Amino acid sequence: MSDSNEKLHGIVAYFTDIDGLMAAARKVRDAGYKRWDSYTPFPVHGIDEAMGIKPTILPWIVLVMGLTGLSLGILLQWYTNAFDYVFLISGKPDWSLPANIPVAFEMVIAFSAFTTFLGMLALNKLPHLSNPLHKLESFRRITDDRFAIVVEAADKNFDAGRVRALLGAASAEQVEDCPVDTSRAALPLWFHGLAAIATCLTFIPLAVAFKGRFATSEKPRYHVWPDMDWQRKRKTQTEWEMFPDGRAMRLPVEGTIAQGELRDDFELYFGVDQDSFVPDRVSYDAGAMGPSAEGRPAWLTGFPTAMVVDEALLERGQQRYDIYCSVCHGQQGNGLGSVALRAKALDAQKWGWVDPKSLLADNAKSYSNGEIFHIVSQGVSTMKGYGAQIVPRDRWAIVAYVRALQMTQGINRRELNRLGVDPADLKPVPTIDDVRVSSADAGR
Amino acid sequence: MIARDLSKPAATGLRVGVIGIAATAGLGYGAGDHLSHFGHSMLVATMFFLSICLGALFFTLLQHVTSAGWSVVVRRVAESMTGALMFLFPIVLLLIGVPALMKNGFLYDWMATDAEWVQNNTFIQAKTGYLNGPFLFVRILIYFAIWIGVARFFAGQSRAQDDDQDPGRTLKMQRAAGICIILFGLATTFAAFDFLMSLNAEWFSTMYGVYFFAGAFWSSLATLALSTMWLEKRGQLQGVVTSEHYHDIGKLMFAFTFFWSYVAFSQFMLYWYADIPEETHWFNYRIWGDWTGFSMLLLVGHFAIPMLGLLSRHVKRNRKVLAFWCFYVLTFHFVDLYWNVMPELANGLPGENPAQAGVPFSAMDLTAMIGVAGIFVFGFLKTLDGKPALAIGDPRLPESMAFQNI
Amino acid sequence: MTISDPNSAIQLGEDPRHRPLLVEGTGEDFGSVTQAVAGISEQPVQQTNKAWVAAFMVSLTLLALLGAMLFHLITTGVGVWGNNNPVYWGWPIVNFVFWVGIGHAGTLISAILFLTRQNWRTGVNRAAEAMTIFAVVCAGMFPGVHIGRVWVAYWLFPLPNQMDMWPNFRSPLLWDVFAVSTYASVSLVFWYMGMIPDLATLRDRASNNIRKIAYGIAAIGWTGSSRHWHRYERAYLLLAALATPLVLSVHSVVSFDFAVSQLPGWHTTIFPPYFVAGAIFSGFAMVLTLMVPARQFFGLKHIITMNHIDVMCRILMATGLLVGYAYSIEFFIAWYGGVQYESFAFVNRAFGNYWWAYWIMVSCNVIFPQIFWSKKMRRNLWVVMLVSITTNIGMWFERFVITVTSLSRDFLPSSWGYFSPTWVDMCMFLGSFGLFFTLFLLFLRFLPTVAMAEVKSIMPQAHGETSNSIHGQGDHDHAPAGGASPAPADRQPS
Repeated sequence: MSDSNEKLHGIVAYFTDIDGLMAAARKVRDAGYKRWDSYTPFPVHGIDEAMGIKPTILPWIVLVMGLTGLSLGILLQWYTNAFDYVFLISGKPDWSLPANIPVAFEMVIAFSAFTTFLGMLALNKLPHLSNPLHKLESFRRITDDRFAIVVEAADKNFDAGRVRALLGAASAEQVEDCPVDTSRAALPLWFHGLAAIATCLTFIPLAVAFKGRFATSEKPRYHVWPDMDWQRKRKTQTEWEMFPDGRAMRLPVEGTIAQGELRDDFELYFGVDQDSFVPDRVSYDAGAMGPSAEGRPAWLTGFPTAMVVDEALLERGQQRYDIYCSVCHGQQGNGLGSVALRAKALDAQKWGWVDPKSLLADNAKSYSNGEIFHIVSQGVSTMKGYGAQIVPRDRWAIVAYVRALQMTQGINRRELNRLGVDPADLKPVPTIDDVRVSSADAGR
Repeated sequence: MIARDLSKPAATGLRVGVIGIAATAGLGYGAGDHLSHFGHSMLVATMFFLSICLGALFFTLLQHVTSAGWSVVVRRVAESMTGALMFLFPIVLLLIGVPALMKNGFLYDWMATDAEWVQNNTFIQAKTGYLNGPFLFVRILIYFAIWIGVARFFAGQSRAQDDDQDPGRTLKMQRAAGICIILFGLATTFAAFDFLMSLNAEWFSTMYGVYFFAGAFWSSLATLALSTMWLEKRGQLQGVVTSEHYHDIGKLMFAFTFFWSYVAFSQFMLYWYADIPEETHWFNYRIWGDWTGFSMLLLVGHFAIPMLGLLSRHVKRNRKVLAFWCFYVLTFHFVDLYWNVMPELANGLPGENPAQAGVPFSAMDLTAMIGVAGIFVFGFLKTLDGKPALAIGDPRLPESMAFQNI
Repeated sequence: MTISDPNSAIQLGEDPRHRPLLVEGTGEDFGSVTQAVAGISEQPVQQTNKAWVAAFMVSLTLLALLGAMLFHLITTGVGVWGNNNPVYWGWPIVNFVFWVGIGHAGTLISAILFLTRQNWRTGVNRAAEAMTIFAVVCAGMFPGVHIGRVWVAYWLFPLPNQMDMWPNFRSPLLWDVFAVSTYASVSLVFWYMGMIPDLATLRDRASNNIRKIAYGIAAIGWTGSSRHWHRYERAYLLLAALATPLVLSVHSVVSFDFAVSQLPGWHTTIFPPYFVAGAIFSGFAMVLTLMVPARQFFGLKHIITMNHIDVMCRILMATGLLVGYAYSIEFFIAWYGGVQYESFAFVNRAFGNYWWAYWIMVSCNVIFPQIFWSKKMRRNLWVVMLVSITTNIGMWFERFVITVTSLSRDFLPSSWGYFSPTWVDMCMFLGSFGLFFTLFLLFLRFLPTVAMAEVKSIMPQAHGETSNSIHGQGDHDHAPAGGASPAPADRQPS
């Protein structure tokens, strides 16, 4: 084994017990060697000191990575749930720190633990499969019941003779030379082949994913779970020959009324007297007030008995009016809504635009409450109906508010008092015709 | 090794104790709030030192039940600390037991059973079978019978072993420790419910006993380390207790920093998350309102800072640095108890919102602590005086003295 | 100091003046430990223990059953389970919590017992860690298939996607994903890292090429260098210190799945430590169930000694008492709180539809383990086996009681229901044992069952003569001479 022609990796001394090892380790340490090590089947208590090993920096690396894990854990949860994709769940704030603690904690542990393991491997320069010491027959007992000290030839002070003498004097069981390993890596050729093939195979899923991402296909996608994709049921708006009318959807039984849809209070729901007929969308011919007198429904002049007209209703009406009506009719009711102004700026009349009516005009004032309710509900002329968006009670609130606007000319007296303005000083309410809008404003 | 000349500091402790408590009572009487603040301050102080005694008792029991070897050199100190239980007993009885019999709600609102709001409160009425004066009085007697009985048994056996050095006593204590730890656990849990949780009789938490225990053991470890250092300075444990032992106490302290935080966080998080009114109100006025800053102080000071501070082994092995952290731990154990007790001062008073009542710092808080501390020191040192400061008869003493951390 | 004559009342092996040897028998040395442990995996295939082969066949059959059930489940849908409305968490979640609980003793034995210097852990820690990983595999499977569409299981993780959606981090179910996956991976690392030196032993003893290559790669070139050992030990300590709060956190998070809700019987603050205690309890029971036969069949009686079993029985009893403590405090506070739903939930557990499950739980978990107060019973292996098995049954029923009784009786009587499992439920649960035991038997047969290096380090021979004697001068007294390297600052002479 110890052929003097071979290049030397180091000199190995074997020991049978701890005491011999410790004594020898102290000797080698005191002799000033640096590139040497002892090898034991288990961690020997006190050897660090006998060898002069400095404490590892591993804990500090772990601390830093643990704090990194903490920050990343918090950041991840903040970014995903409080910033990028905000949604309300179980009434919790978007950014709920108590609920984020568990995941942040797990991230700390995960980062620290993997750093510990990988850091230990990195500092120990593992994996390191090819080691000349593994070629020695006796060295195999190191992982069983023997202890060894190896002084490497790479040490500056290395002198084979002196080292042999030093170790021999230290009650070593056996001292031998360890040659540098010049043989090929221990793994056989077929293993390399297999590893290469396996590595190539791992790229296939990646390649498939890339192809799927960047290529288009005419063929329908492959159905993995056909019974989920094609369920044994009919979807809405489809045919089904089983029924005589050939429709998959069924109509409700004759006379069915959905919950909340029973509109038996004509005053409340249609703005007419209880015994009147219910009109469809009324069209007002130019100049004439709708259909002939006998064909007109008995419009309600007051408010339905089901409604209580009070300040709360007016406030509700104002709020609904500002949301739904003011964009065209203006907050004052004079037809100066932002839509109207913009239409004017665009000169939209050439496309058939009709200016919204001023609710303060005399003919608007002359409508009965029922008629206004009807117009809010069903619309008139180019105005669409709002019955689908606004519930009947809110429509009545709007009616009440429109009446209030008409009486005050859209002036809020409370505001005036606050500003200290005398109502008499006010100019007349402008109409759409009084306003001049430059087409430059159209872009805004 | 005999702890001599402790009678003088013990007597000083007694004097300080009596004067401190008298001063607190005087201040409390002068405050004119029917002794309410006095009661709460005294409760914080009593619970502070009671928890230290209980932690020390648990420490003793734990070492026996696990047949631990490392801790023998400091066990006598812990055993002696439990001697103070005898002297805390009358304080607890006067502060909690007697008012319960007298139906006086100056400290615990539910005790004013004749008050109208107590009678109209369904939550309190539902538990009158448990929360009533006579039963509470009996319970206090039972708790202290268990604590003092267990403490005296272990301290007595250990001292008897000093003389006869009979290893059979070690086995005897080991066998008894199992059943004693069960009794201790039950007594401490229900004491925590009675003495602290029932301050707000509407509130409840299954975790509360564990929460109290976590803080108790934490602070008793700090007291153990400090007392050992003090005795070492007086030359009584010198050369016996090494940095290895402090390292271990420090490790336990670090572990219980984590454990307390774990228990406190779980208790808070579960109630915060479920958001049920009868459970969250307790946290609500502690965390949102005038107590916000104090709660943050508790969070940072009881968890974050000691967690980082006690992390390093160098801290745990250096007596001076460890002593600082022990004082720190005791401070924040006080903060913890203060946070548990004091918001209840305003809670339950008509027209008072505890969230807006503010943190009611007063000189009484300090004098009460000084007073009860005096009583505690008296009980502790009187028990130790004239006896060996370490269990010289324990068969595991050599193991403990030669102990080294890996 | 002098010690008087030994007291005659002290039984052999109990003397507090001497710690019993952890490896029993005369003439045991490092070599014989290696031989005993490594010998198991080196047995030729033809000479495999008959009991092992029989057990392996049974496990494989059950594993096949599990495979068939999974196929049936995934191709048909979760309707094959007994889950219904209101009991939408049936056996799958019960099984999940059951398995993940068992998966706690491994890392606990390794980590917490390592930190508290319980040297006896070296005999059983490897097997317990392996058990952890296999139990977590079984556990992870159940919520995995419980989500219904398993092919989109990756939605559980925060991956960027074309829908621009992220998972909900305010949900305890997502915490679970993080906790269990962290736990599984860290346990795997912990197990593997502990095994590296022992794999190196197997590599160095390998007699054929396949073993040489397999163990050679797995041992990643470990030499036993002291410089490596130094970092390795520090890393092991760090991992143990990290794994300890991890063990606590994982089962706490599992308990949060229940406890953050408002359901009576689930929403109680003691749940986190109570679940952790229960997990340790069931984990130790499983270790006993596995190791008592294993030490018998594989000739490890001198390494996993009666003292090991004695200690584990005592821990089993102690954790059983902790669980009992939680049961009673829950009951007390349910009454004390004065909330009618809460008190009803607990009365219903004990005396309602599922009273039998509740009383099986209480007897198996709290009453039966009390037999271990008697030392004689702790040393009777039949009793130990019986109680460890009933403990596992009891712990399964605990999860059943918590999950099913609370769900089946919530606030509204109109939504009350009753849960009955289907045959698929039962076969899947049975099959999960097949998965667990198949993996565990393979581990017993082919990997180092006992941490050889660690066992060697706690044998008397591992401490040189100088550091062995109690009063003697430890190595620390040898001040580093010659200034080769300064000693670490904190190592003061004792």
